[in-house]
Amino acid sequence: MIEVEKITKVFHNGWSRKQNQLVLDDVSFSLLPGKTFGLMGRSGIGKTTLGRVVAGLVKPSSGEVYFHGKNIFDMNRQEWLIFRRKVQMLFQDPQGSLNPKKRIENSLHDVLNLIKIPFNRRREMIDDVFQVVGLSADFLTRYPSQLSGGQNQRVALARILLLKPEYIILDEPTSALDISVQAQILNLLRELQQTHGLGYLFITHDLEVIRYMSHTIGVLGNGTLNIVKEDIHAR
Amino acid sequence: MSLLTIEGLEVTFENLTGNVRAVQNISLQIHDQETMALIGETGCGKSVVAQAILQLLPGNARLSGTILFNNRNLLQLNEREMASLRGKEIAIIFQNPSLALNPVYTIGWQVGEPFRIHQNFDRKRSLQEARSLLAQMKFEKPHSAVKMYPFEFSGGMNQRVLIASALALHPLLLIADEPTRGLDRELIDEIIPLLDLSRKKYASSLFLITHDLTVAREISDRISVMYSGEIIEQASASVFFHKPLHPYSQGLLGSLPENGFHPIPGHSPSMIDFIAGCQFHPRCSWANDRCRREKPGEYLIDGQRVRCFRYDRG
Repeated sequence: MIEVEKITKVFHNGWSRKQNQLVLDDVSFSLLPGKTFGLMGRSGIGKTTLGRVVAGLVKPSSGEVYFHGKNIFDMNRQEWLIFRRKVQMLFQDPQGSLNPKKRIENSLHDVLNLIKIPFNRRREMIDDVFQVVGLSADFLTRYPSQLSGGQNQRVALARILLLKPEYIILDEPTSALDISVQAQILNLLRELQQTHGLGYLFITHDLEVIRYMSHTIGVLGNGTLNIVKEDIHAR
Repeated sequence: MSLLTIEGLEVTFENLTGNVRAVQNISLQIHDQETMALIGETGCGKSVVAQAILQLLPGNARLSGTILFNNRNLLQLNEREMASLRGKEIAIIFQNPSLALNPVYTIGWQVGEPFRIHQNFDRKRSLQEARSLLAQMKFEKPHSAVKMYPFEFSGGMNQRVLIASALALHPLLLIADEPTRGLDRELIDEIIPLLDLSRKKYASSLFLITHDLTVAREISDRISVMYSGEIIEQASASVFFHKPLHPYSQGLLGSLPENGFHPIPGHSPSMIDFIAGCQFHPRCSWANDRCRREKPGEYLIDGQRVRCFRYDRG
């Protein structure tokens, strides 16, 4: 479980205090395994900032994030590495999250290299996750530019799944994709949640998508988070 | 009367890896004062059609067919004649508003550019025109807006800036290439009525290229569906959203949120290695042996044009 407690984030835009911008004001919620927390709000309101705080990529001005009861900003290196492995982030622009100069295979090897998987076991692991996300093995030798947006998003998702995460922060994962591909990715995410028990923080501005995906919905506006509905449907 | 008539347009890109047949034998008409929407998945060749109309394709593109605009074949015009046409008679709003604007020039300079180029206005007068255009695009403070740079604006504001500069000279044909990509619902609801209103006000036709079906439904009069470089269905918007004929169009509508997110299985095909028969047959649940062998012709069913053997009554 990830608990977010009383997060406040101020951006300092200039030398004067007047220009300080309060983006998140006393935001609290929790992410449960196997459940989706849908985060809504208009663009520029701080949805992504909140997602990045939860992933540990941005330090809040005050407040804490607890991962399995431990404050993530107080972790020692060992714990921090585990946390970063277990909480992953999927970005909006699939093309931008893969290295354009590397073949898909090498991008995936980078990840396995980090977690020190021996070379002879890698191919098997890659084949497994590729099957899960619905890609065939001949994509491995291609470059990201040779794949469509939906396929790249699947590769990005495969790369995340290699690390066997517990929580994924999905930052507008389908807003750059076509309507028919969007449906494919959303259904895939729901399937993965059911089979792997993943917890999602789903960030989007699309009302229909959030209704389809989430168990709990929070709306971010003027820095504060209003939790609108809890367990809207027992899927 | 039709303003733009495309007949048998083919566009092929010559690459080291093979020839990409981005547009294959498409024909479509855009009438006076109508909004025509071209819909289809990413990479099916929609934007290539727009760029072919304006002759903005890169050097490795090979074109054939005719594009008649006001009884002139655009494919036979030279670069100088095309340049006098662009922005004046045919204007385009490119996708990705933040990249389409030049980051080192002010908004006022860029919106005023058509006036300086086509009407020889001086700097001061072009800025004046820019201000009044921005005011029409619902900028609250056009006086300060003209002095700002694109990075100081949000995506939606930049999009309005692009619309303003495209409409500057009241073009006969406005091409909007994915005007809503990357914008959130609230901004879309702001931009789309603005586009529609501008079209009505300046009596130009709008050629809307989009993958967003809800946007197409809101403002278009007619719809063309493109799949893998071909136009597979053409119909009036009201009919299309009630009764799509082609299995691909039905699949597209089925993947809409209100219809329950039912995706079309499989991926869109490669544009290099073409499959025999109908391009859609590997993903189609109706496909039979004939679909795998032959390319379907165009069938006319109650005013709807569709390329699918299901409607072959002969």
